[in-house]
Amino acid sequence: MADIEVQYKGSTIKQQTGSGTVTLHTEGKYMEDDVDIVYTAPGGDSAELLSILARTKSGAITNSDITALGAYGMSYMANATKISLPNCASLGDHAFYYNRNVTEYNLPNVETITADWYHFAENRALVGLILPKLKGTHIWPSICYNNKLMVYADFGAKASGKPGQVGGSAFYGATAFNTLILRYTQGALTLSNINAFSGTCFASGGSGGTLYVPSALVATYTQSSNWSTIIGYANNQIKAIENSIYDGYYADGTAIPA
Amino acid sequence: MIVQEHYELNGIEFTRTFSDAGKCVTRDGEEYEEANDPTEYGRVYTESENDLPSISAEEALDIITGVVE
Repeated sequence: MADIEVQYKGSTIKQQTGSGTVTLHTEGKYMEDDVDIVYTAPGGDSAELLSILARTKSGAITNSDITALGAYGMSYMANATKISLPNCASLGDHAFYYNRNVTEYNLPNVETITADWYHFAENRALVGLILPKLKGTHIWPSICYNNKLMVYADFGAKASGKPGQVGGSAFYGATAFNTLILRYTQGALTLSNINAFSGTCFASGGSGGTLYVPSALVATYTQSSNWSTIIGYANNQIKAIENSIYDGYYADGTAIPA
Repeated sequence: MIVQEHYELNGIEFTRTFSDAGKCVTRDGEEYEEANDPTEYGRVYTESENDLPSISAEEALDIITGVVE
């Protein structure tokens, strides 16, 4: 770990004192970009943070002190099985890229993800992704690219603001993906490119998928560019969230808090 | 220049609209990488000033190596 540089005001984290926001930073050790983890001090476990940076942390990871992940922040966590960051509010590109054994993320307060790629891509064990506060500005390109076991995504239950866009290749290659729940109430999200669903159950000739949206927006989605094409494929459906099994419940069956 | 291609799926004719200059297309203030609609909608798009997003190195490699069909 000698080549991992962890800085706080120019010193190593072991010298960290006081409170404030700390950015843990590596010099491109794991990918072409640097890795940043923004962390609220004090109260943290420096050994845990170092193990995250070194990618040696294993099993279920819960960390309430991390408030943001930069590019590649928790990517390549080969031995992680669950990741819970209850106070994390933003994600950089590739934040959880290539976490091949993670089956579940708990990210109740993530509101923003950067205008870039692959935030949860290549997560081959991930079954579903719930991001209740993700702002409707963009569901960026390739966010869940090539997640082979992924069945559902449930976004926007607690989000506010105007609707945004589902980016190209968003679920590309997620071969089991058949349920998309977009709970944004202030309008339909734009679908930038039908290749967002290439290789999924929603694709032309696929086994079929279901898009759940608020009842007031069913007609809008049905007639919108690109959505109209996806929904027009023979096996796909669009349904209102209301009176469905997802009314008041996330896709994993847990109740949505009031 | 805007290009339109027509194709049929499940008995429905669709129109794919895209730019041959690597630009996005736009209609009613919304921007798309490409637009697909039932042809009967008769939608008209214009070329945007914005370039299409380039695909990432990982995606390009996956496509080349056949990891993603």
